[in-house]
Order: sequence, then C-alpha cells, then structure tokens
Amino acid sequence: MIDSHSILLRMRDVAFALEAAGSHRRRLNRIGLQKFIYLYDAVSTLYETFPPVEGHYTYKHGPYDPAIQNAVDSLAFRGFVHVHGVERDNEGNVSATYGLTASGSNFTQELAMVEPFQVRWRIAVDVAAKVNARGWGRLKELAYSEPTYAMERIHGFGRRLKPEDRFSNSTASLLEIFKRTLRAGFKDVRPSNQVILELFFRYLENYAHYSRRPSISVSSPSKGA
Amino acid sequence: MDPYSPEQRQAIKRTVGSTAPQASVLLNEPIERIERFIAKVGSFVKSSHHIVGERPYMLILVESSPQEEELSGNEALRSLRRNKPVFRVDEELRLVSAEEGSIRLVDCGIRTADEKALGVMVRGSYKYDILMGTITDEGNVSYPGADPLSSSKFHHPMIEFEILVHEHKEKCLDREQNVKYWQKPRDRILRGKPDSTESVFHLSLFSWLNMFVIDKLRIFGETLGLGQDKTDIEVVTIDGTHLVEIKWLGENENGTKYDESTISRGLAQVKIYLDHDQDWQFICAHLVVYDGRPLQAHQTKSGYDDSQRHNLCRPPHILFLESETPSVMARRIAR
Repeated sequence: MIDSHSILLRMRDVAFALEAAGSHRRRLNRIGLQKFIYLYDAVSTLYETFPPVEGHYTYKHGPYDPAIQNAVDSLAFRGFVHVHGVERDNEGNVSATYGLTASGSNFTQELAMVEPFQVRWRIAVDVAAKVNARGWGRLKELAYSEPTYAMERIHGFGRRLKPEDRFSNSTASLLEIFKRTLRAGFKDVRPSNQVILELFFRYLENYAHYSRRPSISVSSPSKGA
Repeated sequence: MDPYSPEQRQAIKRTVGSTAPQASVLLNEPIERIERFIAKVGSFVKSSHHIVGERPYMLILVESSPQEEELSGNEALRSLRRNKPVFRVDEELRLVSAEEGSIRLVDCGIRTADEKALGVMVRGSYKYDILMGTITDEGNVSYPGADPLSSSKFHHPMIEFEILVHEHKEKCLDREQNVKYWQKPRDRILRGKPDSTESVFHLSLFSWLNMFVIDKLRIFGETLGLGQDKTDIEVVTIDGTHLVEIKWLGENENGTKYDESTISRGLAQVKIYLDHDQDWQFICAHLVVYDGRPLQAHQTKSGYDDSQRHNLCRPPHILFLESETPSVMARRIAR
C-alpha cells in the first residue's frame, strides 16, 4: 500500500524530472521516468539530501517505484502532465510518453523556487544535463550500471534498493571513493558536486562498457515497467 | 568478502585513475581540457621521440593561445639546442613560449608548485605528470608496460606491501639492476647527485608500485622536500590510502650521514602525518628504510623506538643494500 505522502513527494519529483528533461526538449516514457528518478535519488546524498524512505525495488525493466507511476497519473488527472502516444501492446502493456503541460510547467517552476525543494530541483537539472550530454537513449544503460541496482538485480524482483546506503556497494559509497581519491595527495581539496557528478556518470558509462550491456533506447514509447 | 565486482573495480579505476580529474579540481579547469592536454602530450612524445632523442624537456599547460602553432618535434629540437627545454603550451600543444630552466625532477616539481600548474617532464619516451609539485602519473608512452589488470607474479594488492617492497629490491635494487645508487660501492658511499639520495629510491619504488599494485586507483609521489615535511608516496585504493615513507641509512657522496636514530625519526614523522589526518584518509602506513651502512651495523644497530610507531603503521622495512656480488662476498667471508 502506497501512502498519499509518498505519492505527493513523487509528484514533486515527477514534475521536476519532466521539467528538467523538457528543458532539453525530451519527453520521458514510463520506464525512462523511473530510471531518471532512480538516478536522481541515487545521487541525492551528494547534495546532502535523502531520497524517500520507501523508494525503488528491482523489477522487470529496472528499478521501479510504484509511487512514481501513481504520481504521474495524478499529475495527468489534474492537467499538469500531458500523456502522448498511448498504446497497448499484444500483452496488454500500456506505453506512453509524458511531458508537462503549460500549467504543469508553471506549477513546477514555482515549486522549484520553494526553499525546501530547491536542492531537489538542482539535482534534477544536473542529472538531466549529464544524461543529455550522453544521450537520452542511454538512460536505461546508465541506470542499470548504478552499483546498487547492478548488484541487486541478479537476486530477482522485489528487492529494496538503497543507493544512498554508504555501508554497502552503492552510489553513496562510490561517491565517497571518488571524493577520497580526489582529496588524496593534496591538502584541503574540496571537489565540487559538479565534478563528482561528472565522475559518477563517467563511472556509469565505464561500468556499462566493461559489463557489455547493450544500449536500448527508452526515448520512444515502449512497454510499461 | 570484496564487495566490488571486477567490472566495478575496472570502472572505478578508469574513472578516477588518471591525473585529469584531480588536476581539474585543483586547477579549476574543465576535465576535458586536462584530458586533451595529456593525450596530446602522449602523441607528441611518441611521434617526436626519434627527433628529440633522450634530451629531457618539460611541457606546462597554460592558457589557450589559438593564434600560435602546434609544437613540432623539429621546433622542440631547435629550442633544446638553444638550451630552452621548458615549453609552455595549451591543451592543443600550441606553443606559447620556450624558456630556459632546469629539468631536474625536483626543479620541475618546484616550478609546477610555484605556478600552481600541471606539467609533464619528458625524457625519451618516458614521462612524469607533475601536478603542483606532486607526481601523479608516470610511464613509458611508447611501451606502457604491464597492464596492472593482467596477471603477473609481481602484481599484489597493497595489503601485501611487504612482498611488493622486497620484490622491488630484488628485481630493481640488488646488484643495481635498474637503479644506480652507489657512488663508491667498495666504501659503501651512496649517490647524492644530481638529485638527492632519497629520490633515487623514491622514484624507483614509485614506479614499481605504480606498475604492480593491483588494487591501486591512484598513486602520488612527492617531488619537493623528500624526507622532510611531506609524505613520500601515497597509494590510493578503494579501501583507503596507504602512506609510504622512505628513509636511507649510511653515508652519501655529499658527506650526509644517517644512523640508527633515523628509523625512529621516520616513525615519528609517519605518526605526525597520521595524527594530522583529520579526514581519516590513511588506512595504513609503511616506513621503508634502505640501509647503506656496513652489514654489521645493519645487523646490530637497526633498533627503533616502537612507542613512536602509530598503530596504523606497520613495523619498518629495513632493507640492506648489497654493494658486492654474492661471489665476492663469499670470497671475502672465506678469507
């Protein structure tokens, strides 16, 4: 059972994700949205904030948080999100892409100005820029390379994902390794979030290369998660 | 159990295992610019080695100068013949200036530290990346050597430092196979020129660790004030950073002498580094002492004050430097 508080928080995250992707003239489909928000949550510790307590699980097409789909549906119901290209395949899976309506975009921009949400908005902007630099078609490959998901997916569906856990093989511990490595050998080195985030995305690309995962486009309509 | 998969380790090393990310942070430059500079230097060294030969020179990254021409091997040779071995270039290796200056490693270190710059010192096809006074990478551009990820009997994780340091001595130092450190072997006088005695052992061990530490992410070597107030070598692994301090005992050609008390001083120095490590970066420390004294002194006067040893510091590795071949030694003992 997903509580309404989780869905409300995810409405904020979905709005930020779609606005940030939209600034690069991109819409996100169901899977792409899940993956974008997964990466956005994964790097949140870098910005000294935490993702929702009830978050992502391993599922068929990658990390999945049911509250995200509920949130995007709620936003669409309220006229903030426009649903494009709705299709149902032979197996009954619905595919669609999402973008903010004009009122949704206005609402999101106002939300981004609210002080408690400014950091989350910053993360969405930064992650979107990194994904855009690499190509939105690589979003799935990038999310699959995130350490927590890469390690947990082999154990099956329904496994809780905690990329923010510093004491496991996770994004948080990886970011600590990057910070420590950049500080080594010199005194008083304080790498910026931008540098660490760039290294994190380079790591995802490198991991994808070494693990030889195929790159699959998520920018076109496809099956639901 | 190792939490990281081999693919993850490769990806981490690929991501942060080069000079560029750190230079980007310290110089406040885009990482792509640093990567471009290092790549261009590599291409230049390869393509111009046959023109420039073994003459040492240095390339320092400075501001862009689009109107200048890219440095060529012939231009470099002309400058070297005019005793101008310091080239200031941009990331495309467009030559801004060629200047006079010393190309000793310590002077290259001082130059980059003073100017807060990234430089590459080159001799033949061998190069040292020097970032603000610290060696951040080194190697032969034409023959990069063993890939640390490939198997080799000399590859070990940093936790097996004792094996690494002994194999380094056996394969590089013994019988001066790869390093000349005796000035007068018969009198057991060590070299002290052109660089310091410390740097002879430091650079050799640095290269060995750079090549054979299998879990290394980065390695740093100090070019300034070796044996003074800075750590000599730092090896960064996924688990944390290992500190290596190098000392020598005996006498060098400059008349400098170090006795048994140097071991305790070395331990005290390591303790200071570890006590000041507020970020808890260091997880282990090693003091390596190369002993150029006579064998008897090595065997009877190699004690140290263990109370000076930090609990993260391993017992010192005191390695006797041989100055005669086993057959000569056998003849002497037989007499």
